[in-house]
Parts: sequence; structure tokens; C-alpha cells
Amino acid sequence: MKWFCLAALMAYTIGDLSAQRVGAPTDDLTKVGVDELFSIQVTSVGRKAQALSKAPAAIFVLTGEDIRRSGANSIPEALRWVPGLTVLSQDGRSWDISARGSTRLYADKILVMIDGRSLYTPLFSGVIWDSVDVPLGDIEQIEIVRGPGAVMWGPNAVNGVINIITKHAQSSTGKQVSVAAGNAARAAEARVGEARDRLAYRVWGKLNYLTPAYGSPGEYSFTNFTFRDAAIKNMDAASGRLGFRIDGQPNEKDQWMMQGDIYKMDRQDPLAFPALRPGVQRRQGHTDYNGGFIQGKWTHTASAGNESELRFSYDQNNLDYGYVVGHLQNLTADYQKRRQTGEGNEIYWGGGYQQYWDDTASQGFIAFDPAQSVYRSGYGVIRDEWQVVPGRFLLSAGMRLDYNSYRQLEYQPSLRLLYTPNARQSAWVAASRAVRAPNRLDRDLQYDGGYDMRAGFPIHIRSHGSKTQLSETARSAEAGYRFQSGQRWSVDASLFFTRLERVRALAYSMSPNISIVGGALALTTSMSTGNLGRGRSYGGEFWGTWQVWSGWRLVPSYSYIRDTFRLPLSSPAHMYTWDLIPINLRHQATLRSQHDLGRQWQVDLMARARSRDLAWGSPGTFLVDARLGWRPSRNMEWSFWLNNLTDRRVVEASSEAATPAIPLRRTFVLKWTQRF
Amino acid sequence: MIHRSEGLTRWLRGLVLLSLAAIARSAASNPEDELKSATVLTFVRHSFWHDGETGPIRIAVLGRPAMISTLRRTLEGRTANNRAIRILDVRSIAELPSCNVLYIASDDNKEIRQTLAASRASRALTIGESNRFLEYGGVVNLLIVDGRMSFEVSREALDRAGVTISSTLLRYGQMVPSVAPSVAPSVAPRTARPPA
Repeated sequence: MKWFCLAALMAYTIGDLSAQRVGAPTDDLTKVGVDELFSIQVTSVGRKAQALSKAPAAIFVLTGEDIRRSGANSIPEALRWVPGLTVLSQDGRSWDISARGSTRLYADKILVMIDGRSLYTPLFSGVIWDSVDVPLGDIEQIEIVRGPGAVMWGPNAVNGVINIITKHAQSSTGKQVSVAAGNAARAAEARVGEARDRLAYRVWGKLNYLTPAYGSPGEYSFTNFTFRDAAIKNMDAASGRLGFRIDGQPNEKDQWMMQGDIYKMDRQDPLAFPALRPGVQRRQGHTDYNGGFIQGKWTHTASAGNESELRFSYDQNNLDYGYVVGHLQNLTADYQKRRQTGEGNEIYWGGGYQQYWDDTASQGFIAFDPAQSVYRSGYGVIRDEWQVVPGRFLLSAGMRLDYNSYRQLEYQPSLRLLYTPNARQSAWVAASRAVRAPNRLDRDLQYDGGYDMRAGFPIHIRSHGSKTQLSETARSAEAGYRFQSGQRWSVDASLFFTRLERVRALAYSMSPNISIVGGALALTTSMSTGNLGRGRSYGGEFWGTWQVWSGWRLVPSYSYIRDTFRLPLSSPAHMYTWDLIPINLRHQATLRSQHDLGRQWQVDLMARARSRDLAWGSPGTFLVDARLGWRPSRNMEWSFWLNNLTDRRVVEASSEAATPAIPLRRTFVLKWTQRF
Repeated sequence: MIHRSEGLTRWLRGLVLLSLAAIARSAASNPEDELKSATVLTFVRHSFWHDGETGPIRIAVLGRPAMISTLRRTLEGRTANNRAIRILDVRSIAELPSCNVLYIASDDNKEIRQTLAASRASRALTIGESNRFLEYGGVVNLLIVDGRMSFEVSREALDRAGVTISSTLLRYGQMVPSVAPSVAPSVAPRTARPPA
């Protein structure tokens, strides 16, 4: 009962750590430093002026300028420079991206959104990074929240949220073309935009051609052996995308936005499937993705403190892996309301509905049973931000309730307290609970792992999902501190502790079947999923900025993560192929140096280091990138990037699917951007 | 049972207190105006007038009532370089008061042009928020670029006004050397907010 009261208390005083909606008390604006004044966001979702540095959460903002200077050609490449985020390339196209542990391909505890639309697929909980793209020049900023963000963003925001915000059509007018070419990638993007009195639009297109394979060895990790191919020759990936965004403001109080895109991608995959050990079955396959989305948003601002927003989106993705085909559709609708009930108090509430449906077909090894499914979920959320002592203490508490077709009611509360003794410093603490909702993989997968030789016996291993699979849950406690010393330097540090429960794990069934295969006796064992695992992770992140002199800026960062999982005794030592134990990197550090040489030249040096992967044994490594930029005029820019300067041939992330992991190599890109 | 009613009472009490606290307060002003107002203060703090005056810094404001009240609320009574700040209302362009800063919160081109012409003699630091502000002879134009506060300064108008702005501040904005009307479209800001 006590517990219920506590939850009720949270529910009504809520808040959350939203990057966008928790802000500095506005009357503090006259006290902020010049640097901060000109970096305050005014167009964020809540259109509430606020310094992100005053949010009670571990937030980092990658600005459009940072992205331009990072040499990135895709979003994952840009994210490599985010403090506390683990970003590993598997093969130059697929990425393992996570925060605070649980790092794997299709990491299932980090939520990724573009303009409020989730990219997280309910098919297997994860983001298909190789199919995610937007023109990098049209990104306003990427906000990265480490730690749970469920109240603000919804389920699956367990370890963090990556929120990609594209520019308002008003700020991307004119024609812009950019062309990039290098030894591993070629890309071109073009955009046309125009702004009228009450309407602005842009239309864009982007082409990408990646050639990551270079005759290097490829590594396929299977349950208890690694298969190496001496030379991987063809992993080319080509994609094309067309999109638009329209922003309108019919009157002072209303704003609307429509956006959408269509895309197609085709990639070559040298596949390997486990057969009777140590054999593998090989074939050259290819993966096709195509689809598109449309999203609309309408914001009504009755007054500065009274705002409502209605959003809908529909997307369709067709995936054709060599071994399974899926036709996925997703429809979402949300309503959110923000109301200032006094100078020191704001209430947010909202609700929404999601319907996801798919149709899959197996082409071997992997199947979903049933092949078709519909998933529905609805939610209600309420949170409150209360200036307990105006300008000093901000209490933010929130609760989100979700109910889905798996007949599970999920509660996700959050409580946050921010203390700002003065304009230079802030400290915060937070406690929250978040869930990772079950997906089709957890419940419906049928996987045929082939035969394995154990003690001279061929053992046939099959695994399957379980209809009783429940959400994975995480309870987190966090704390953080920020200090800004004038315009010279700032530091940001955070600590976290997360307890994971009901983690998906595969367990052997107790009764193997005996059969005859090719005239010999064989054992068939089956494994099924269950909420059998537990885990915990703790650690801390630190980052700072140091303006050494007016044209030279250094951004160091360091993070420490201790990530442990406990699996039941009946689980295999390593979970099976499609459910591998996560990569375990304890120490990660980055250093960015941004140097302006006069108004026209820029030199950027970036270095990152990480310790050995304790789960899979990949060695620790130190990588350096460099970029030279030249801007002869306001409208033209040339840049030259060298990634992995010292040509370290290291495998960043072990392979998880039937495609190999390939080592990094030195790559270069020359890029030209012209505005008309 | 007792336990439950106690918890509930506490809960209700909290709710009542909270709503009372909430009702007792009035709504705050537009955050964008707050930000502009803070930027004006930053300009005042980083500017030097060569008239040798030591009295209060007078900021005259005309245009949108909301902006006038935000400036008054946030800046009146504050100090800059040990000088108090006074906000003055401008009743009509004909009676422009003598001032150090003139803030024109308007996007009516005719009004801007007339006000700027009338203020030529006063050598005030003129600050505006409209696309053609510099073109009409204004010194500083506040604009929102990519969702962040930014500004552009007309070198010519600044020299004419006889005010020095510290380079610490100027590097956050864009210095426009000459604003002949023909060049204006290329330097015209792209505001995040469509013109009203």
C-alpha cells in the first residue's frame, strides 16, 4: 500500500528528464554566460527556451556543426563522438550502438527516434542502423540521453535515448548539393528548400554506395567456434532515398509539420550458417530493404504556458534477409499537452496508440510462428515539473502506463530532482524504472541451429521463443553534476546504477529427443526463451569542454561501465547465436580537438581508445581520425577526412548474424558542399 | 485500512497544496522574448558609449507590448558596468527620448524606417528583430538561426553610432560590412519563425 501511495505521489508530481522539456528557470537567462546564451535552444519540441545543461538527466547534444566537423557520412559515424555512447562497426554497414552496457548488434535497450518517430522495430527490438539515414546537413541536432527515459519517450528507453531532430523547413531554404567520394564510400545529397510567409518546405534526395570489404579476413562467431573466411570481397551496399518536409504556420497559435521519405537499399552479404561442426554452409546472399514513412504533427499554442501537440506516423518496411522476409507496418498516434499551472509548475499529460503488424516468410534457418501478427499498445502518461524553490530546486516526477496485446500492464515511473545553486553549477539525482517490451523474436522465433558435435555425438540444436515471455525491467538510480566556468571550460559528470531483471535468456529443455540422422544416432535438444537472466550495470561518464583559445576547443570524455549478467545454470555458457552475450567494454575514452585556423580553414583531430572486450576478447584499441576543412566562401566547403590514421586492423564488434565482422582499415573521404 | 487512509490523506493534502501554489501564480511570458531580453542585457554589458556619461543606461523600447513588458520585467533595476538600467517607453516616434539603446520590437518596415531615421541624431545602439533592420540603418539585428539566438551587426551603422561592442560578444554573431539594399537578400536572416 505504501508502495502504491509512493507511486501515486510520483504520478502526480511527475516529471521526467526530458532533454527538451526540463529547463532552466527562465528568469535565470539574464545570468547565463555569453557562450550559453547563444547555445540555448528555442525551437525544441516544447518550444520552451531552455539550456540543456540544466536538465536533470545525463544529456549530450551533438550539434549540426559537430556532425559536419566529425567527418561522418552516416548517423552512426557521427555518434562515435558522443561521450558515454558505445558505437562499434561490425562491417562498415551494421552497427552496435548502446549506452551503459548491453551493447550488441540491434541493441534492444536503447530507443532511437527521428523527430519523435521511433525507429525501434517491434520485430526484434532494435534499430536497423544500416537502413537509417537522413541528409546529415539537414540535422538540427542529435540529443543523446543516457539512462532511462521511459516517461518522456516510452518503453525500450532503458539505457538511453538517441533523439535525432531535423531542421525546421524555415532553416533549410535554398539549394544545397554535396558530393563525397572515398575508398570505402561514395555519397551524394541534394536539397531544395523555400520559405514563404506562412509555409516552408524542403525536398531532398540522397544516394550512398559503400564498399567496406577489402579482401580482409571475415569472422563469423557461432555458439562455440569462430569461422574465418580468408578474404571477404563483396559487401557492397547501395541505398537511395527521397524525402520532404513542410512546415506551416497558419496563424500565431498553430504550427503544423508534414514529412516523409521513401527508400531502397540493397546489400551484398557473404553468408555462413553453422552446419555439422566445424563445417559451415556458405552462400552469397543479399539483403534488401525498402519502405518509407509519413508523419504529421500539429502544435497549438494557446498561450506561452499552454500547448498541445498531436502527432501521427505511419511507416512501412520490407526486409528481405537471405533467410527470412518480413513486411512490417507501424501506425502511431500521440497527443501531448503541456500546461503551466503557475510560474513554478508545469504539468504534461498525454496518451497514444500504436499498432504494428507484420507478415513474415521463412527461407531457411529462421521462422516466426505465427508468420503474421498484430501488436497493439496504448499508453497514458503524466508528469509534472515543480520549482520547489524557484531557481534553486526543480522536482520532476512522472508515470507512464502502457497496456499491450500481450496483456501486460507496464508501469514506468521516474522521479528527478535538480539543484542549481547558481548559474554555473547544477546537480541532479534521479530514480526510474523502465521496461523493454517483448518482441516477436522473444515470443515467436523458431531457429534451427544445425548440428553440433559434442563428445563425438551429433547434437541437433533448435531454439524457439516463448509465449510467456514478459518485459525485461530495469531500475536505475543516477546522479550528475555540471560546472561551467565562464566561457573557458565546463565539465559534466554522471554516475549510474541499474539493476536489470527478467532478462531474456535461452535455457535447455530437460528432455532431449533421440533420432537417427544419416544412419547415425543424433540428439535433438531444444532451447526456449524465458525471463531467466538478471544483470546489473554501474559506472560513470565524464566529459568536458575546454576553449584553449578562441579558435581551439578540446572535448575530452571518459566512461567506465561494469556490466554483468547472471544466467540460469540451464543456459549455455554463451547464449545461442541469436542471443549472444553483450560486448563488455569497461573503459572508453575520446578526445576531440576542433581548431579554426582563421575564418577559412579548420583542422579537427579525433582520438578514441577503449579497453579489451571482456565478453568476446577483442583487443583494446586506439584510433585516430583527422579532418581538414576549407571554406573559401560562405557557400562552399571542401573537406578531407582520414579515418583510422594509423591503419589499425581491428575487429570492433563480433558478428551476430550470418554475415561476418570485418576489421577496420584506413579510409578517406573527400567532400564538397555547395549552396546556391 | 488505517494505513491506507493516512496515505490517502497525505496524498490529497499534497495535491491541494500544489494546486494552491499553482493557482497563486500568473503565467510567464514568451520564452523567445525572454531570450531576446537576455541578449539585450548582454549587449548592454559588452558595449561602451563614448559620451562620458555615468548616469543610468536608458533603453527605449517600442513595438510589441509583450516584448516591452518582458524587457521591463527582466531588465529594469539591473546594472551593467556599475550603471543602473532604465527602460523608457516610446509614446510616438516624434517624441523619441534621448537614450543609449533603442529596441524596436516591430517588423513593420515603415515604422522601422521612420524610427531609425528619427534616431540618427541620438547616436543610440539600435537593436531590432526584423529581416530588413540593417538595411534601414539599424546596428544590431537579433535573429534565430537553427533554433539558437544569433545576431548580425552592421559595421557601418556601428561606426556611425559611436558605440564600441566588445569582441568577446561580436564573435558570436555575424559582422556585416556594408548593407546596400542589393546585397541585402543574401544576408537576410532565415528566422525560425515565419514573419507574423
